[in-house]
Amino acid sequence: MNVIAQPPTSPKRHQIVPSGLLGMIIFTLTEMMFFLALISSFLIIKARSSVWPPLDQPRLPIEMTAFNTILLLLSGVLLFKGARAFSKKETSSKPLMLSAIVLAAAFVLLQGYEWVALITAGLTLTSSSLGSFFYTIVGLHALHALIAIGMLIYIYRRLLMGTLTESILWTTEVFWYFVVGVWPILYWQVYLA
Amino acid sequence: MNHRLWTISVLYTFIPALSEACSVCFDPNDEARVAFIITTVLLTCVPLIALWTIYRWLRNCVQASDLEQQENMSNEPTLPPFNLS
Repeated sequence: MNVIAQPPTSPKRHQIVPSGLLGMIIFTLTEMMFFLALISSFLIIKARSSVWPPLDQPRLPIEMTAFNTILLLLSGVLLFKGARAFSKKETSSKPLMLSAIVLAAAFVLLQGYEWVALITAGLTLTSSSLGSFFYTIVGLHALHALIAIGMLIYIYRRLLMGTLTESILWTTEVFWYFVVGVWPILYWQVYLA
Repeated sequence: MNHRLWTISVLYTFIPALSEACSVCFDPNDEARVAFIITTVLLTCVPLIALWTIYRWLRNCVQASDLEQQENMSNEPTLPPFNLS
């Protein structure tokens, strides 16, 4: 009698890292390189010019943006606390996440106000290399912030409906921490350095 | 012909002065050259470090999961010995 040997069955492995989270980490890595490339080109252009910032261009509002930076960092802290509260099934997660969204929206609105003031003062995309880099780097960051705010609103809605999962929350957290974490570097290089 | 092309490519890669391939390398402005070198080092190292970190993190996750699975299997209740009588 022929006996066909059965292949040994390996125990079923559960998912170690959610696919969405791993995908977002890899995506964030590419975004990090994108911003690093922008900062690199900005640094080289800045180093090659004899006078920086260009004399006929308005100065960037350092103090107001410092305040804005604090708002953004605070938003990151609140999301972190909200996510921890959600993990512990505490009710404080809702107000914490809502506060994070409000602060994030305030950051983008203040930046819009700053842009209007700068454009009125004469700093445009074509007025100088400072203007080109400023609007490209800061504008792309603002675009990321807007997308991240959309994601935060989405998770907040799911939290209210009781359908939020940890996997979705972690994925959004990674993106928001990236947006929050990259901003101080941009602020330092574009506004302060 | 191919051999010659290959030699020229290698020469241009390792001696960029020949082809003036780098717009910043021969800049008389020291600050621009330093900025170029620093950013090149950063752009080279950051992705390598990041990929290595992700690899280590995933490996730790897998090891922790395997350990947990082994512990669960060893804690499973075993069947009592079969009694013929």
